[in-house]
Amino acid sequence: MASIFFRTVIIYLTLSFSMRIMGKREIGELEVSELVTSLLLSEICSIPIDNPDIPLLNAIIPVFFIVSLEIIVSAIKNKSALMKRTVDGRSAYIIYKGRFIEKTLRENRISIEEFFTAMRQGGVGNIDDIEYCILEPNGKISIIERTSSVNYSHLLISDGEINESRLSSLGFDRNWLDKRLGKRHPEEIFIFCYNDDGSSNIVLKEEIKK
Amino acid sequence: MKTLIFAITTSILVTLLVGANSFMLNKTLSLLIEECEAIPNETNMKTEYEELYQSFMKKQKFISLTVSHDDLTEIENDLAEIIGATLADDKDTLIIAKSRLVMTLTHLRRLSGVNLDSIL
Repeated sequence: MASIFFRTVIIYLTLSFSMRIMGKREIGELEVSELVTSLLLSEICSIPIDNPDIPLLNAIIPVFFIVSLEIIVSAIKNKSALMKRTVDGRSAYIIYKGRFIEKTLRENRISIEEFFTAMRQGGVGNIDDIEYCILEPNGKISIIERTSSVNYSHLLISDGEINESRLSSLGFDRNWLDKRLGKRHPEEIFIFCYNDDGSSNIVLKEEIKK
Repeated sequence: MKTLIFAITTSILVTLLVGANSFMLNKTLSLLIEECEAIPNETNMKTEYEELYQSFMKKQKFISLTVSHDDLTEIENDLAEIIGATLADDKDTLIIAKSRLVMTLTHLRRLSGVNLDSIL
């Protein structure tokens, strides 16, 4: 029984790592950990059905444990941006302010034909009509069209954690951010977005509002 | 929040259950091995071997929760062979079957513990 317990943990970690390595395109709609959980649960539940000699507890216990692991990992991901990036990966720009970023396609093994398919499926016929194109952690491609009123929000602070890479990609630094926040400390901020028109949105954490 | 508490509680309970199961299984199998080795390899020990079989059957209810039926069947077969050897006054078969039984129980005890063998 103890061997089943440790095997469950090892298989869970191995599958999570493998799905992460495979990249965003294989995952589809689910997040990495959700996909791993689904795969594991179906396999584990089929074992005592296929092989009646295996005691039922050897499947039931791992099922409960995997579900608990998934909930705990999700809770940690909500609290820690680092954990979220490690488990699910991060979104990446394919087109940023109309500029094509070839590196994103190459790193994620997306062909140009696949990109054009996603573009057409997004209802866009011309590449020049795209202001932003983002490869999401779940493998989906999001397109924001270029219009006169496009005012894209760049998420810079999420639940108290500063997205340093996005901050520097916009050409800003901590001094700029501190000036924008005024007297507020980043840890007090739930959401802080910088918009293309130069404005910003701040949502404070619930406990601060009180 | 409730779900998270449920998840943490379940994780802790499962960990404790697995630890307890491993410990109890180890202890039960060790007892069975001791009882088996304590009986001399004589064909006139039919009663003692039958008591060993009854002892195993009582413990089987707990063991069968997490040990495969194949393994349990193997142990029962060995015990049946031992008892049969005492009835047939066949000492060689008795020694072989008893040796096999002890090795099966030892193997099961090793695999039920927390070690590299059982995990890999």
